[in-house]
Amino acid sequence: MSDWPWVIASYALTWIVLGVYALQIHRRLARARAEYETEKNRSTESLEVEA
Amino acid sequence: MSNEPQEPENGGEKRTRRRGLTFLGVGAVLIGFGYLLLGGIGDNLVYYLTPSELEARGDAAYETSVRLGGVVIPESVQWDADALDLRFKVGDGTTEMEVHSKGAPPQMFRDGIEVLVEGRLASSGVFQSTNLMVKHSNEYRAPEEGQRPQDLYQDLLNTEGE
Amino acid sequence: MTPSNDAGRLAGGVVVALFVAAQLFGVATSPAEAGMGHLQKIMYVHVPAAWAAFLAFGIVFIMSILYLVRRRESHDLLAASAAQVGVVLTGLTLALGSIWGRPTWGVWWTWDPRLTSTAVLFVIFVGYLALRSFVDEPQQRARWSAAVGILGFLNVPIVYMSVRWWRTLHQPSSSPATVDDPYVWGLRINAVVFIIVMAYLIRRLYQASILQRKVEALEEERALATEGSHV
Repeated sequence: MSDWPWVIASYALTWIVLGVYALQIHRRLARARAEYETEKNRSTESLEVEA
Repeated sequence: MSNEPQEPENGGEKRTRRRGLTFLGVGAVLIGFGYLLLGGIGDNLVYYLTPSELEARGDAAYETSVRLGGVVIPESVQWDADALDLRFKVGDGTTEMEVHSKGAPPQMFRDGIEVLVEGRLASSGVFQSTNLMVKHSNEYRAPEEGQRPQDLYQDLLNTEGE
Repeated sequence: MTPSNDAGRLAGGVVVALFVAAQLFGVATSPAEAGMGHLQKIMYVHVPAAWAAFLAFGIVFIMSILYLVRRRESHDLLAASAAQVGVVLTGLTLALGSIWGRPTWGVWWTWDPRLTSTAVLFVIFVGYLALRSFVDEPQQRARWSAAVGILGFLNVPIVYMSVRWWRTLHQPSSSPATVDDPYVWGLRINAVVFIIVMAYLIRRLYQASILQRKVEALEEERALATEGSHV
């Protein structure tokens, strides 16, 4: 039965590493999308002002 | 991507300023790569010696740190559970060498399995191991009916210890 | 909520579900192995992580060559995304191998050719990411990264062949001939799912970096426009 702690540790590590990394990417993508929306709106505004 | 930004022809003034730093960076990476590849792996190309190869070194074989690899000779294992003292022979088909090691071996240790020992060959002709590693083969077999994997190890260490 | 966001969420859910299902399948269908018992189950995360990392660096290799030929920024950004995912997967492979090695080999680590060459691969691509972070000029960054990415990938076949070329503690590659049926499918399914996870992560990271570049481009455009209106 002494095998299981090692097996559990391996699977837990896999989940922690990939989970944390996926969340980090998720946040980065969400931030990039938000920034893009703001920037796009600003650009159209400034163009309208100029016109 | 139809509207991806295309590179402008001119990289700008930053380019010259950054060139030195970039050069250093890439240089460091490449030197590191080369060093590790040629030096690091080079040293480890012969990761361990077989008993025959160690014996062939003659007098130079004794009292130097080496890794020795071979198969645990069946029924050569002597385990003293109280003193945590392990003695066995490793062989490569032609030469056998006695090994002395302290502490309990990894659970896969058994007759006929490949092991690596780190240590030195004493003048007595017994290899004094400071580190025992079990080499696993690339085979994965479902156990036969009624056989539990740990039994082999338990049997070995229990019976040999008495 | 934009449609692309919903699709992303759905894809993420599917990937997680596949990951859980593959691991449950692997653990549930594998009897204790004759020699190493339940430790064999670590195979289903260690080996797929390694394969997925190799593939990720393969993407870096192809995209780096494409960049040098076509000079399209998207190739550079895809290479960079794949390199980052590859580094995470290689790090995971090394850590899982260490956890597996302690109870089976008896050591957490040893400098055998397989382990050493994998560590070198890891260091090279950490270097690749470091290089990107300290070169600001996009074209120059892309060119140098492509060079390191191509050279770095050359280490992948060395890692793969190391167990055949040199003496190692690490075992040689297994094949269906050396692995009994109950373990073959567990490994295959987990490998496929790991590759899906790798592709998913690279895609998301790539989308993020494309958007970031677009934001930078819009900012520059706006700065130029304001400057122009002041003159």
